Amino acid sequence: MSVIALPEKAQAHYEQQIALLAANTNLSVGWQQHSQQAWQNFLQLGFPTRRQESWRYLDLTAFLKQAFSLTPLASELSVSPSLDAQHFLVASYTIYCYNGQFLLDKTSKLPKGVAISSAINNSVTVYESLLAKNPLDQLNQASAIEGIDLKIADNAIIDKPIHIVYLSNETAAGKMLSLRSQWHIGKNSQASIMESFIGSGEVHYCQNISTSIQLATGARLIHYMLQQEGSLAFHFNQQVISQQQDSVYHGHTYSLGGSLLRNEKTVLLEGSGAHCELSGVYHSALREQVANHIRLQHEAAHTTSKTNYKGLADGQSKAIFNGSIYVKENAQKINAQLSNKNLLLSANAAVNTKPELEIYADDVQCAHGANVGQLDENALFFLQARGMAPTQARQMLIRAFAVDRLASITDPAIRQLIEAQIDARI
Amino acid sequence: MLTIKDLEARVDGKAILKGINLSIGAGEVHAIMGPNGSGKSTLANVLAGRDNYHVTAGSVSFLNNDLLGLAAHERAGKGLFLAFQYPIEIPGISNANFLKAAVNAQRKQQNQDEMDAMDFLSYIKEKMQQVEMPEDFLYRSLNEGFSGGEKKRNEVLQMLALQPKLAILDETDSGLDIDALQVVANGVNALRDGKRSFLIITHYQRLLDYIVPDYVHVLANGRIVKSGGRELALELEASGYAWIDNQKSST
Repeated sequence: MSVIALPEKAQAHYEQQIALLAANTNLSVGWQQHSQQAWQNFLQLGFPTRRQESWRYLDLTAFLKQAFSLTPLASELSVSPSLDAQHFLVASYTIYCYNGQFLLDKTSKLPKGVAISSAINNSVTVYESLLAKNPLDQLNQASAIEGIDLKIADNAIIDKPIHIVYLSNETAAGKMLSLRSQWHIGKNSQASIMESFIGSGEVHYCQNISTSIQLATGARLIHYMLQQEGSLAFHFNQQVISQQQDSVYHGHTYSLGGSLLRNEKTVLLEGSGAHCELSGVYHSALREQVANHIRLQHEAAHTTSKTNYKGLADGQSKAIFNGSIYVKENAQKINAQLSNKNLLLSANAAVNTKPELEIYADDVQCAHGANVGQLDENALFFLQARGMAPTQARQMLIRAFAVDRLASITDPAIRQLIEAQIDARI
Repeated sequence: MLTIKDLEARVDGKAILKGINLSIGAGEVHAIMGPNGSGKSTLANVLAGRDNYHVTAGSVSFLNNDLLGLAAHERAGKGLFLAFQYPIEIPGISNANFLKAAVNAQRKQQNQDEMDAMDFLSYIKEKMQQVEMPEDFLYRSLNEGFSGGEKKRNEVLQMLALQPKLAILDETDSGLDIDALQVVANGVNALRDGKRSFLIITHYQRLLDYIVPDYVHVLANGRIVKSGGRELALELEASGYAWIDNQKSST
């Protein structure tokens, strides 16, 4: 009797699911073509294995064993989702995505300059081919029947953050929720968008999200992402951000829970003068796995980027960071900095961090650093000499290590919200 | 207040303190002077309870407690304070939160009610005026980006806030200009009330122009080799530490 390996078994399962989905959904011809092409790509790639560098440290066994269903949930439009106070941003425009379905009719009244529509059956669905080698993105494209088109008009200045809340609960058990969205931030416009992923319930579900974010000339976007998935949830998040001339993108990523979180963020600095700042905090505990893969692609001269992620790994968890800076040939006058610091809070936790540089121009300033360490003994003694018990001193230092990254959040309400979530977690 | 008997200690397996005897009464100000490497900072760290300083012999009694049997935070709770030679920078903890946590950690140990944020703020602002620190220092990360002088002022601020019974100043004067030195001295002098005691560790006698000690001890090679009044500091200023070596070679 031959033994079928788990990835092949999973592949066969999803092949059936894709066929089922195609038979039961009514999508535009254009979207269907995209989906079919993506599925063919997926079949060539197969599920990732540890032989692939960018998947080497992640254990996908539990995910592959799940055999998630791709068929969407029965319509739940009667549901009025509500957020607990600690996650609710009072001054914001809120959009709900409930168990994988955008509830656009429940969206707060949007200001002038913001337009949101369903991405499905929309002909403008052009996605970057950059993720063509990511099987999860190809699976996303092959199976997504949900997503939004979010447009910020040229010159619009949006006064309050747009808060996209992805709520998942027991109802999502056994489902893979595939969302494929695109955001377009118009010329010289300014906006901030916060995405909160909040999962409750002890059930297995999988969020698989791909988002294409385009910043036109002079656009400024602050993008926050808070990930607090359910304790048994899987979450794959693919983002491609393209930046035109003089645009500014600030991306904040806070990964604070979920059985497996994997973020792949690619920033294309395509226009001269474009600037990107990425900041992040991740905390893994128990047997959780959290991975952040970042690629800064300096395609044009006079572009700058600054990346700083901090990680805390506790319990028997695993944290992975991979940050790469690429500078294209003749893209001169580049300044790119990348830093990743990690604290190991337990002897059984593991951190794998790797910065990479790939530079094909000569007038370039690049700095990168990555380390994994433990709490500073001198700082611990200092706090104890002021009267704090060892556990309190330790707690203060762990908190300080993470909270230090929040100083760059300009919106006080968002900073407080994230700070409270970090406090609740550590 | 503090009685040190035949104290011996090792750091990294090396004997540094080789039999210290010292008694500090309530309200007294003692200065310990000595050349580099004589064991001055080791004594301060041993008294404060730092981990990798191993006491191999002797005893220390502090307000009738066996000091060496207490953990570092318990010593602080009993009223022992060490002003650090090299104050630590901790990004991510605001000075205000740190000070409040320290004050409340000690109040808790002393079975006093913890101070709430409002009470603490008015309490600490008054202390800040004493060390001429602008209010924005409360909201900056602990010592992060502070100049050398600002860090030492911040140490004195902590001392003012914690109101210790015995304060040990470990070379608090090093690297300070004359203005900062005066601020530090004023902070100490403000706390001199006839009950509180001080142990001032310094290489130079300069600080002692501003904080006048009752006793001066000379530490050399892990032992106190000479004790006297204030005039001993002036003597050292004039003659340097070379005579110690002469004394050693003659014995």
